[in-house]
Amino acid sequence: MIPILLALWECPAPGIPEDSLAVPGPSVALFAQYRLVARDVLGRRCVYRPSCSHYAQEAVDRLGPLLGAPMALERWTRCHSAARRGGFYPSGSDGLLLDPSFGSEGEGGGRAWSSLALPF
Amino acid sequence: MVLACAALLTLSAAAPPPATEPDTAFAGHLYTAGEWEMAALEYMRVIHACGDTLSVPLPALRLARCWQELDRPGDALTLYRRLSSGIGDGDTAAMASLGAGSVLEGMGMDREARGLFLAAAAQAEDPELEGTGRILAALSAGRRGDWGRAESELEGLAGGPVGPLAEGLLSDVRRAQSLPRRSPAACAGASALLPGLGQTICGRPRDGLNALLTTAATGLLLYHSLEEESVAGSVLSGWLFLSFYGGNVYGGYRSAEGFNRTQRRRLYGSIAGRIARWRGR
Repeated sequence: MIPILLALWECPAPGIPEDSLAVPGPSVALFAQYRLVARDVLGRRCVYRPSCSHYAQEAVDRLGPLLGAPMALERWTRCHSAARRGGFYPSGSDGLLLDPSFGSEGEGGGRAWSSLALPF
Repeated sequence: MVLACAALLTLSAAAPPPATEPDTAFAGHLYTAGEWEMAALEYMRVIHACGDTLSVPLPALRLARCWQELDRPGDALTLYRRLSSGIGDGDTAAMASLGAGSVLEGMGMDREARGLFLAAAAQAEDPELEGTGRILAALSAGRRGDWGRAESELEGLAGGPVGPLAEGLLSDVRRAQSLPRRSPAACAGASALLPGLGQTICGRPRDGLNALLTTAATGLLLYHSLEEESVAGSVLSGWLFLSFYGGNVYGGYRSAEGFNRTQRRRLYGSIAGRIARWRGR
């Protein structure tokens, strides 16, 4: 039932700004229900920030269910405790691994090294 | 915080006007301690008391640096440019050019930053300041991918006043030229051929195993649905299989990008650490 609902959800039209005042679609309620069960009842905690459900919600909202679902499922296969090994993902201040759905988590500590060389 | 600001304003209102040189000791303490917001307020007070930004260049430079740290690049850049153009040649103008270059570098504008670092080197009278400008210009070239040019420019600085830093950075720059790299397209193709292979090549075997198992399980489900000639089951399992398979291919691509990004992050961290230690930060 859930995949059919997702499949019937229209892909977002290009050019709609992220902060538009459009009414959020069924995906918001769907993922909220998932978080209610998985996080609050089962007590599961994602090793990433944003969490897998937020990641999936953003992917589905931006790309639609057909393209967003593979992204979401790919993230789910990566969500395990061994993801912390190797320094593949930078750690945030809360200890969670930074892995944004779109864009990069930053390079080189996020600050220009030239500011460290300034003589004042 | 509010009480501290109020105390600051009261003290500044009660203090006599500066005679010759403004007292910036307190601001200096805040600046050194990394209290950027408080230091910025204090330096603004000093500049306001003196009446002209160009008459107190060092507090103005430090104010611009505070704005950089407070994520106000536009304000910092405007002040650096004012100092650089208002003072003309000399070490102060060179420091302003260095500051402006560092703002642009933080915004990802490496070519423009390199131009400003070279301008700083040309303006500087102090050899160490000139060397700093040349080192940063070399690193900017490397950041844009031209590590060969960065190496040759750093070799030219090895014997000068910034020699120790240049020699240390040479090892990082040489490492940059042989940095391990994975092709995102090739890893995506590998994952398309064998689910999880791309992730494994990029040093993520657990991710690869998960991708393989999930793709295999959904593939098996699809096969059984087709065997039983169940339309609804075939559609559902087919959608699941394609989603996991497509995600696996995307995962191979993303793993390679993540691998390359991790290598760059480690390199940049090493360079930043070396510069910070040289500056005593």
